[in-house]
Amino acid sequence: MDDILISIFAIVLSVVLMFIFPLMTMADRTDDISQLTVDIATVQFVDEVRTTGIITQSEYNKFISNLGSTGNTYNIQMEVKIKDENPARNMITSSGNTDIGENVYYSIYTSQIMSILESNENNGEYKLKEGDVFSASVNNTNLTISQQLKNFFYTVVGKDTYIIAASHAGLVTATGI
Amino acid sequence: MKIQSFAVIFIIIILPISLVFASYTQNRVETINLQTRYDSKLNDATYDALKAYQLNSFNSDTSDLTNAKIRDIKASASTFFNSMASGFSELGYTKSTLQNYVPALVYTMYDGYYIYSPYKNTWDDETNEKHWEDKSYHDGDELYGLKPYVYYSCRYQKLGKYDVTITYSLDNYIQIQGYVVNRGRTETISQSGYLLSIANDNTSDGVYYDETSGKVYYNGQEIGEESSLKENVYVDGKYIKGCEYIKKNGIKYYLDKNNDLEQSYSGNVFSVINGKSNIQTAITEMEFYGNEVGSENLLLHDAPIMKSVPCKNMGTYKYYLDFDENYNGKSDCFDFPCYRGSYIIVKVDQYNNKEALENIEDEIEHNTNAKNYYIEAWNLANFIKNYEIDDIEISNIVEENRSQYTETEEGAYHTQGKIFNFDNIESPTSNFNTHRIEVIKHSIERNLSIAISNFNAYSSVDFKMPKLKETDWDKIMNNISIISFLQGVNIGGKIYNGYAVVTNTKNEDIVMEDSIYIKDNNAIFHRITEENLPTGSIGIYNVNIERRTAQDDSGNNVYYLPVEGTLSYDSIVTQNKISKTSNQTISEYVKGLDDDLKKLYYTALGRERYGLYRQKLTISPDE
Repeated sequence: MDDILISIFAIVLSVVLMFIFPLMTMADRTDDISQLTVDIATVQFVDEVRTTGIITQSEYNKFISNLGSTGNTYNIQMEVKIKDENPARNMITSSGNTDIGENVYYSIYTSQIMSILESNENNGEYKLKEGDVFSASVNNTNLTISQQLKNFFYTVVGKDTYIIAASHAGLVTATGI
Repeated sequence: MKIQSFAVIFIIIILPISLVFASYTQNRVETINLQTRYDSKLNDATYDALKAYQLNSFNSDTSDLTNAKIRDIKASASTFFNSMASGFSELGYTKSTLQNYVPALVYTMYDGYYIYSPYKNTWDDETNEKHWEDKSYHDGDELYGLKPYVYYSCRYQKLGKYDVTITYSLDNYIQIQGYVVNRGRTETISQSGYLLSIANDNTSDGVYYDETSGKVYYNGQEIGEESSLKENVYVDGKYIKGCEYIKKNGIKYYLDKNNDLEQSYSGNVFSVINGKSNIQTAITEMEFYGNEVGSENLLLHDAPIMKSVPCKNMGTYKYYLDFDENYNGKSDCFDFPCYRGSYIIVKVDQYNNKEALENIEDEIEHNTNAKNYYIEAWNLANFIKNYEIDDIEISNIVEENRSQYTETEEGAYHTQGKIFNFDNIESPTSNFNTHRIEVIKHSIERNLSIAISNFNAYSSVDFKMPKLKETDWDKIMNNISIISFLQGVNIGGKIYNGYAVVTNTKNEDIVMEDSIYIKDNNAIFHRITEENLPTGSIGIYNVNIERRTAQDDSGNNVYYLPVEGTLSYDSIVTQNKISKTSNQTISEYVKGLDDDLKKLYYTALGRERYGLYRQKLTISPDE
């Protein structure tokens, strides 16, 4: 009787060790690689925008297809902080000032940027100027195999349970023409 | 064997493999993360360097002169290394440590470029002997610094016709120097100017100059004079609002109409050097009285004769002191007011013709910079045609090794046909522009690869010149920029080899087509490409709307705006309402605008380009 129990236990253990453990390890590595790809794609996309001053439809599509190559689906958030020098300029009036006025930044977000990229207005380009700040963050929306396997053993619940995420931001260094 | 044993053996085999694999992947992830982080940091440090150059050049009145430019570039390079030191703390904090990883910094300027890289200090015996014992530099020292300026130039030769060197620039400005054979005689030539298309009449595209009427047209628009451009200026600790000025050869001359400056007379002209006024009448009343040569009767145009006017010779000018206010209000003779105590400057050789020299006060009130820009272009085009330099092709190129260029696939130049084909010379795809880009690219690539390969002599790391992408070349051709290289840093299993290109869109060295903003009647600045652009009042150079610093009487820093106004939210703060399509150039776009806007734009572009400082090399065979 004991032998049977031990054998069953051994079989279960072996299955776990020989199939599920390698599967989990491989799935984890796949996520690592995906993480790497996503990191690189995000940094490249943001840096390209920062140095050219233009967000183009083709650049964005390239970014999406780079992300897509990992086999997951992603949620992309973009933000442009637009520098408005006018309030600072207005502080310097008639006689020259010893105080510098502060520049004001106002933000526009993914949906606003996308509506311009997708429309025919501005040739599907969103132009930035020197001094603006551009940032993008990405996280996966599907459950990757590694997440599914983990859920099998210990359930991770909640809406924002992503394991692949990347973000990058920086000052725009050229005015898009 | 029992199944448990299988499991144990399996674990023994798989576990190490899995661990090694995991750590390898982790390593790669870190390496690539580090690489992308370094890319960003290098970019940021280069941008910091550029910002330093921008700020220094905006707040200096001499920034366009060569030695001041060298000073600004050296300061900018220091900023680069400081910024690197804070960004790359892994490498070390000092400039000299970081220099081991930076083979070159390239500052591409308007008509040439500087390379900041190490070099060997070489002295000939004579210099070596001349120096005293405790000299700070020695023969054979390895120094890190700016190498001499290299022009974007190319030499062309056709036996029996010409042997000229043409220096190109980031826009259509060229300088031609060398020899031409004209009607059997060899002549030395030195000519410079902007290249524009030439029109056959005053309605077609291009420049048309009617020499009999003195009128000049560009793309069908008559380019006239502008009256009294105004700008705010902070000088001698004093803020003068709306001071009339003209920019000539990079220097702004202001008219002190209301006697705002203590030591000048009203109506005097001054320029500003480091916040101090430099009054343009070369002599003071004291100097005048000490050296006057006597008095003369003076008759200028149809003005009443002035008897016994004290006068003095100074160089090529003769100064007269107008005590009796004879010229006050005589605007039909002179366009400038001439009050008691003003000096009338008369050129000695012209005095005999009883003609007064048009002076700078007159130019301020009637700015003809724009007109002169187009006339210069007209004259240059005619010069090129008359001297038959317009038949230059790439087969006439003389290479660095003095051999004639023959086109091969690996060669640097591929433009087919005549380079100076005036039919479409302004188009970005014209032979002139294609060739200009080839010359600039070849020159930078060649010298840069030499600088980087020479760096190997000073470093233990093997440096290689990375290939710049086409998109990076586009940036370099568009405006003055900084290219920085960082190599040899260990990033875990790999050696970092990266570069960054950052362009400077606001500088006083170049007026690009998008540098002109239109100021409307409500004092709002717009880009020329804005949708439904209201009729403007004047075209403004975008650098003039930037904030400046100065010092007030008590030495406090103050900030002022040379030109006040609000930036348009549709085309400058954001570019959401731009009606130019992306495959259109700005000049093509402007052709489709209203006549008023076209005129404003062409006038402002011409005025600002003509006012820039351009180093002119004059070759005079007689001297």
